[in-house]
This record gives sequence, C-alpha cells and structure tokens, in this order.
Amino acid sequence: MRDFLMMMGRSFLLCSFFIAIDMGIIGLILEPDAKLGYEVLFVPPIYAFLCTLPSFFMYSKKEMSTRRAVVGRILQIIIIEAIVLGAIYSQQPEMPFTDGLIIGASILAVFGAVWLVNFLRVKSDAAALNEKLKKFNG
Amino acid sequence: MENSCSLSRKIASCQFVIEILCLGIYNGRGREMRVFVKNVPKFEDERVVLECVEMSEDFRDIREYALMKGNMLSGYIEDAAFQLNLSDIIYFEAVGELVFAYTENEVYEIKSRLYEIEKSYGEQMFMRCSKSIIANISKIQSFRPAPDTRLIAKMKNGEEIVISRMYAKALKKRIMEV
Repeated sequence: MRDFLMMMGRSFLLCSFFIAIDMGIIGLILEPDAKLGYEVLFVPPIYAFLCTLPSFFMYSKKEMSTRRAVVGRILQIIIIEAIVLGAIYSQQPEMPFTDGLIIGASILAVFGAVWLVNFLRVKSDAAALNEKLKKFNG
Repeated sequence: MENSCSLSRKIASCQFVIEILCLGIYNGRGREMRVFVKNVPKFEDERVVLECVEMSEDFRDIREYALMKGNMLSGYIEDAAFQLNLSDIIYFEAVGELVFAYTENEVYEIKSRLYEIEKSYGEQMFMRCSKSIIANISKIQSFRPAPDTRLIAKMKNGEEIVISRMYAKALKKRIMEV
C-alpha cells in the first residue's frame, strides 16, 4: 500500500505540472484574451486530485497481469475523461462541442505525459540493472 | 508436522552429528520421536541419519529440510523424486497450493511452501519477485519496462517474469549490491 500511495503522490505532482502546462496551451488557443484571477492557480492541483482518484479503484492486493493492468489503464482514462469533462460542462453547459473535444484530447495528452514520465523512469531503472547484470554475467 | 520441522531446524543448527532414531512411525498420534545428538570432531563427519519403519510424510519433510540445507533439493514429477541442484533452478512459482521449480527443460513440484523456499534460499541467489514467484537472480538475462510501468525480467530460458512493485525496490537493491 505504501508503494502504491507513493506512486499516487508522484502521479499527482506530475498531473499538476502537466495540467498547468495544458491549461496554458488550451487557454492560448481557445481564449487568448481571457483575464484570470489568482484562484486559477488552484485549478491544476484540484484537477490533478480528481485525475488521481480513479487510480484507487485500480488498487488490488492481488498481482495483476500486464494485460489486465493495461485494460485497467484504459478504464482509468475513460473515467478521468468523464470526471473532468463532467466537471467542466457542469460549470459551462454552453461550451461548444469542439472545445470539449480539444479539452478531451488534452486530458489524453496529460495522461500520456504522466505515463511517459513513469515509463521512462522504469526504463532508466531497467537500463541500470542491465548494466549491472552485464558485469555480473561477464 | 510443525513440531517435527521446528525440531529438525533446531537440530540442524547445531554443528554436531545428528542421529534421529525413530522406533515406529511418527504420525502425531502418540508415538514419540526419539532424538539423539552426537558430537563429532570434524565438520566432514556431520550428517543427519533418519531411521524409520517407513518413509512417512513427517520423515519426508525432515529429509527434505535436511537436503535443502545444502545446495540440493527434492523435486517431483508425478511420483518420481529427483534431486535438483539449486543453480539449475530458474524460478519457483506457487500455483494455488502447489509450488513448482522451473529448470531449463523441466518443471518439478516442490513439497515446500514458497515462504519456506524464500527463507531457506533467500540469502543465496534467490529473490522474491511477486507474491507467487521467487527467481534465481543469476538466471536473469535482462530487464525491460512493461507498458503498465512495472519491471519485467527476462530469464535465461526466454521466459518473462513481471516484478511486482512491492518487491521491485528490494530486487533492484539486491542486484546493485551483487
């Protein structure tokens, strides 16, 4: 459980970072002249928290096969899309469908970026271990 | 059975010649197992002798434990028993209540629990990779990341083992220390 919570914490921080970048890019595309208050700074961690929540449904004491874990990830992104788009549409019901699509795609991009960072971290671990094994095996 | 195992463990920890003599079958139904411990001057003379009317499950356990203290362990294919060299084992896997040892060409059933194997060989080249697998570190060929960001170990026989996050850190540490 401790490892799982640490992984969640790392994902939360990564999500906050990528959501902030994402909001900047989307904002520049959709509403470049918008004036925002300080409260907008709370948006990335709030959405990052919402995006991290579905991961808790993925927690299992049983070992998951790689295939099952990948299916879980797909379900996770569907839930995240539903939560974030649901939250945005509940605040702005008149938002055009195309804007919704762009936001949907950006959620996917944030999810992909978080996955990529985690994947590269494990890849780097694997490379270090392979280097050690090479020495060990001669 | 638990009594006889813990007893044999205590006995085996002594650096004496051990003779376990049993008059009759010890089956936990009242007959007492007599235990003799005899001191010998040289390490080469150390041994465990089991004397029994027939090889009961308890005696089989004691024999297996004594064998596992070295580098050999007993594996079974159906009812046939084989002596396995630890260095030939690629990994142990628990499937339900059973534990199997995988070598290059064969799969043997092991009459021990996975935690017992971990306890016996954890200080050698064996390391827990997941709840159901203990792998021989010297048989790992390479590592790669899985799509779900877990580590996958490719063994020298070509099989791949997923390393659980729970054990990944300890495994990494162990390999880095090797």
